[in-house]
Amino acid sequence: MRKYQIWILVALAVIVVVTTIAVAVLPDIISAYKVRSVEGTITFVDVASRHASLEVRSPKDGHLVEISGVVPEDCPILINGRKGSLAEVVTGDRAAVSGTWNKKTREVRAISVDIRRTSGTPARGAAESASETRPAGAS
Amino acid sequence: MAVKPASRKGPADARPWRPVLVGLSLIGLAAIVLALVARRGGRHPEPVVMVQLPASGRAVLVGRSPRGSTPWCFRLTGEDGRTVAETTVAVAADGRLEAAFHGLAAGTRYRFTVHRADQMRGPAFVEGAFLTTGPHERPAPNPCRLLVFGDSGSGDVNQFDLAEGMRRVDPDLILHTGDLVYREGRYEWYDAKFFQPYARLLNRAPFFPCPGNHDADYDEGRPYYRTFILPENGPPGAAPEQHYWFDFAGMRIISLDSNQPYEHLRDVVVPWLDRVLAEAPGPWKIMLFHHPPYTNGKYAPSGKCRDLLVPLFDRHRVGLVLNGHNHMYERTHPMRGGQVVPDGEGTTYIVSGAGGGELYEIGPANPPWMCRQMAGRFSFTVIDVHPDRMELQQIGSRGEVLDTARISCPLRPAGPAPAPESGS
Repeated sequence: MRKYQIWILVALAVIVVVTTIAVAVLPDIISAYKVRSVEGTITFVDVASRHASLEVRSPKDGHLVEISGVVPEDCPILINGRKGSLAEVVTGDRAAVSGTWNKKTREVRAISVDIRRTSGTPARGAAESASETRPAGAS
Repeated sequence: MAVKPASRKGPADARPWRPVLVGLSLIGLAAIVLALVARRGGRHPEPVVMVQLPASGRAVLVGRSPRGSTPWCFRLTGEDGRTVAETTVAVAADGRLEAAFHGLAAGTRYRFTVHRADQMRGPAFVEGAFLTTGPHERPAPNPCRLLVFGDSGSGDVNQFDLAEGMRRVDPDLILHTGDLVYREGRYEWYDAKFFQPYARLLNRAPFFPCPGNHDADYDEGRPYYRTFILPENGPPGAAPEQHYWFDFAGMRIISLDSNQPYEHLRDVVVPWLDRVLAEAPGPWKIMLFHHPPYTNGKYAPSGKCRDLLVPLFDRHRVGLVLNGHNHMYERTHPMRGGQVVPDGEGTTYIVSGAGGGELYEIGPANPPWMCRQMAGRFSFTVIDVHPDRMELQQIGSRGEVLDTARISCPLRPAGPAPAPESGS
């Protein structure tokens, strides 16, 4: 076997290995950096650990799901258009959140939080129609 | 001239046993397939009956039967063997059976049998079954035995194996933490994934579930509500059996539908739950709902349950919270205000979600409140409830004990909870 043939074989082997690794790892890397935007209700805030939960309707099937994740220190938080902090966010607030979700580690990190209150008061305690939540299938 | 090669098969009479062997193999294969189908819950010739106790003095036997079968006669007898009540019911178009008995004596054990209505002198199709009416006051020192499991409805061999172990523990009451049927809670799948696996368990102890996300999300939960007859004492503004409570052997047990939106839990459930917990007659208060406020698995803790429900559990000294959703077993230390407290002063949170569905791994976090976690093993929870304590065992598929715990009843009057962990 000539020398250049050996080099071709080595190059092919390298291409196969690199492609295999890329196929295995790239989706996770892409997933980790793909920014998604969701809108829902803030259901939990822990200022100390900077964790929060958001209840949203899944765009896939319309079912309610809770997403929990980290709100980093440098994540901009807007409350009715003005700059706010995580300590000002209360459960029951309506929020539009952009963030990343690492499929492998299931870690969610917020990139921006936009709180929209209909009035100046925090949302907790605000009443909404309960009849809308009744399952039609209940006997 | 070409010479045709001699056949390698040789004369036909050289292997006369070959057709017989092939025939036997086919019969064997068919038998294996039939056995597997039967194991997975193929159509059954007899009804499967479940005990439901929707109200004091009222018992309902709910079941499934082959569609188009003859009516079934349900006969209730006292411990002395005398017939107390008898009713004949027809099978509904969807295979559903329902026999209701009213005016039963409180705290009384009845035996029941199910016969074909046209063959009353023939053998009973359901035998050795019984029900005990409420309020189930159980004198000390005999404990009341709870069986708890969830996330079960796979219909595969793991679920059937676990069900056999459950039957052996002979529970007084069965609580299910949700997700009865995978992947979708279709009505027609309840037979293979719920009634068949637990056929010899459901007719011996009353069964109370809460809806999991797979139960509530499919067809807005219609199959779930069609299957069960539950107490209709939930809050105004909610569907009749969506949230409910009942008293059993000195315990107040409250079941919630945690699939509901944050606003529904806040505005409809919380005021009602506050009252129901405050009016509990005994010290033991037990909560049953699907989404765990404290867990470390594939799914994060439920923020809305932690924010809205946990403060009530702290205030009213709830002893035990039973959840599912993460397909594993977890037990926290007793907790109050988000902090670990001594035994007898807080609420213990149990995730019993390893009932037969695909198992999950333990999450990356190492929360200080977690006392015991077990992933990768199918298991169920058995709790012997005494007036002052609970003795818990987590039991695996082969009957092995995976965890034991003693939980003291939070008897002390409720005081101010420690500062909460949350900043909200």
